[in-house]
Amino acid sequence: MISIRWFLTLTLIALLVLVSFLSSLRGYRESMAEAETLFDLQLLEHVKLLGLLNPASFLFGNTLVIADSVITTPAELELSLQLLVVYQIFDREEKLVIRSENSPTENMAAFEPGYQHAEFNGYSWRALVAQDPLDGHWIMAAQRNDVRYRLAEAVTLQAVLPGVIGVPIAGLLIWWIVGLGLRPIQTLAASVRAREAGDLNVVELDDIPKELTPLTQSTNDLLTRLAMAFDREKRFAADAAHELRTPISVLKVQLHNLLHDLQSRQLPDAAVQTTRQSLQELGQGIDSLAHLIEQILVLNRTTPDQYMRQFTRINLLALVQDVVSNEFEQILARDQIFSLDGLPAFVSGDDTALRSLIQNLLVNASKYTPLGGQITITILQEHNKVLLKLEDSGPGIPEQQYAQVFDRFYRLPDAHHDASVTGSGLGLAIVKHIASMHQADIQLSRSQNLGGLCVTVIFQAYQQDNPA
Amino acid sequence: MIDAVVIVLREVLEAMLVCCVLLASSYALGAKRIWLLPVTLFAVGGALLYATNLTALTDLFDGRGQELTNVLLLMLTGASLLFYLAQLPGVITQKTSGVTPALYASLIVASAAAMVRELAEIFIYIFSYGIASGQTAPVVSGAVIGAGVGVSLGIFIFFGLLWLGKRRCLQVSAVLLSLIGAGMMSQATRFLVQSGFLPGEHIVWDSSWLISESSLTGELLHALLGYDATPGIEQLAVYFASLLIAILLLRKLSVNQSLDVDSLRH
Repeated sequence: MISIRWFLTLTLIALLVLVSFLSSLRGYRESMAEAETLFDLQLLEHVKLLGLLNPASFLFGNTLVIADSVITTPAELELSLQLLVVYQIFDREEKLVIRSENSPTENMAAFEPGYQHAEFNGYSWRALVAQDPLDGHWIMAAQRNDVRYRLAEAVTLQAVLPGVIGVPIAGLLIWWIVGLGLRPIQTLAASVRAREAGDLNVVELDDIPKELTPLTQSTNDLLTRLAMAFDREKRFAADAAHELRTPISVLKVQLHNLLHDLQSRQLPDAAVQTTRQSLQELGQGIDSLAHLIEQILVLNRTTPDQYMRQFTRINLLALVQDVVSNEFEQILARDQIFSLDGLPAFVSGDDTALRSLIQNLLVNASKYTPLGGQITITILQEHNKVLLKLEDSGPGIPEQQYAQVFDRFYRLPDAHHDASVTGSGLGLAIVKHIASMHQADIQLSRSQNLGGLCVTVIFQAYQQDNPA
Repeated sequence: MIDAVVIVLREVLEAMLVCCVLLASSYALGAKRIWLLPVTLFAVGGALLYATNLTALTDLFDGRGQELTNVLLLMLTGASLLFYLAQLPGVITQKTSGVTPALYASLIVASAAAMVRELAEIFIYIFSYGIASGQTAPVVSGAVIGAGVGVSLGIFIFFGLLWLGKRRCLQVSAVLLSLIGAGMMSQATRFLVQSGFLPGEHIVWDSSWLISESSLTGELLHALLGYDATPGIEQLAVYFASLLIAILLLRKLSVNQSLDVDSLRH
């Protein structure tokens, strides 16, 4: 769609041009007609003046030249020559009595009283012929048509020209004024555009024009509803996860009691064995349910707005060591060889969130790496980046699925790993979420050293002046 | 001054009609405005070339060079308008990236060819009747007024067509373009008759008593329909042949459009 500014500017200028130019044309024609009348009146005055003369007192062929004594400059003389009225006076027998210098010797117009068109001396003329009612002598006076036209046009153009010259100036002004009028829209658009993604506060602008109030109002209503919906969603997930913890704890306790009871009862060995196995499977189910709920809690607890403001300086190496010591039991249980390499490196971030990131990556690696496999964590600092690299000797992930594994609840097909491994499908989604909150990049690749998956998280190094 | 207004207005109106209808049509198709740049360059450059070499041009082909150039430009405009109409159905049905390079080319050629002739005539008029004969002020201001009125009318035609909405705009502008194109073709035929390349003995009718070619209505009809008060048989034949081709192309368009109306409402 064409912009409002162009539409308004072009149509307004077009309208202005049409109205002003057409009225100029109308004015031009009227002025030209008026000028014609004025020149005709001038001819009439000449004829009236000539009528006052007594032809008998003049000699044949005599001319009246008095202009030379009055006119001094060449320009005025030129104008006078152009304006010059030529005349002839005939007696009642139509014999030439007197004539002006540049008039022909024959009668220049027909002997009929009134305005006439005449042709002589190579020009076309406007002639006025009159007959004296007393003695019947004829008076003829004429002016060149082209001179009359040119003089009239020169005068009229003076009135038309300013209008023609003014239109471009008016056009520029219209362009500017339309832009000025549209500025509130730009301001509103800019203020909406400049917001951060998560900013759902209402738009507050001073002096919003009446036309934009409904738009601002409905945008604000929408933002409020959106913020409430987000809030509700967040609270629901958090509440649900929180509320589920208690019954799960109760389930765990009851399971423990059941197992204890089973030992104290006098039952056949075979029956005890089957029941114990079922109860252990039930226990695993409850554990994975508990894990899923924990993960959902982490995902919902870490929203960008809240956490960005609480970022502190964190020693990534120390954090990794801490997480590893917590999870070392699992790694030992699977007979895996773990190694950590690197120097202290500092990033800006949230302790709990980063801990969760490392833990998820480590647990994942341990889970998918076969018994007796190998896991390595490397911490590197390159210029202003800090790299956290986690490699394993597991089956890895097919390259075409690198993008999908970060989706929530996405799980790889069983062909790629041991089917007995349980998981919620949230681990990498959480890692991705936490990394993006820390403005860190995650890259997946095949490990050069161990042959399994290599996850590289690239953080911005901590900088004193830029704590965010 | 009035003469300058009338002459320039006539030329500008003819060129604006072609350009503004094409512009509105291309807008409805979602074309970019960038094609206006080469049009301006070609039109101004071509018109200057035409006007400055008028004498040499006239002397070509036993003094019929100017007529032949006009015929060439008119036919170029008419043909590229028909070419544009021929491509419309294809572009509309192609839902992804609408405007093809061929379509842009036809837009550029049609507009530039239409403008070259009219601009050259304006340049020649202003120079020979204005500057060279010492009448600069009245002729130039008349030309500015004529051009201003013509361009303003063009702007209103453009926004008027856009105001119809995309679908109607395409339909109406297609009809207008086929009429204008046929008019150009018949005008070219007239030039051929005038310069003696075609016999042109049979004048079919004389409607100058009803609508004179030099009246405002006559000028408008001339620009829009190629109106001629005394058309020859060849002229009418070419006119209706071009119109027939255009109608055949448009019929295809209206069939396709009824199927693909939604594809335009993006």
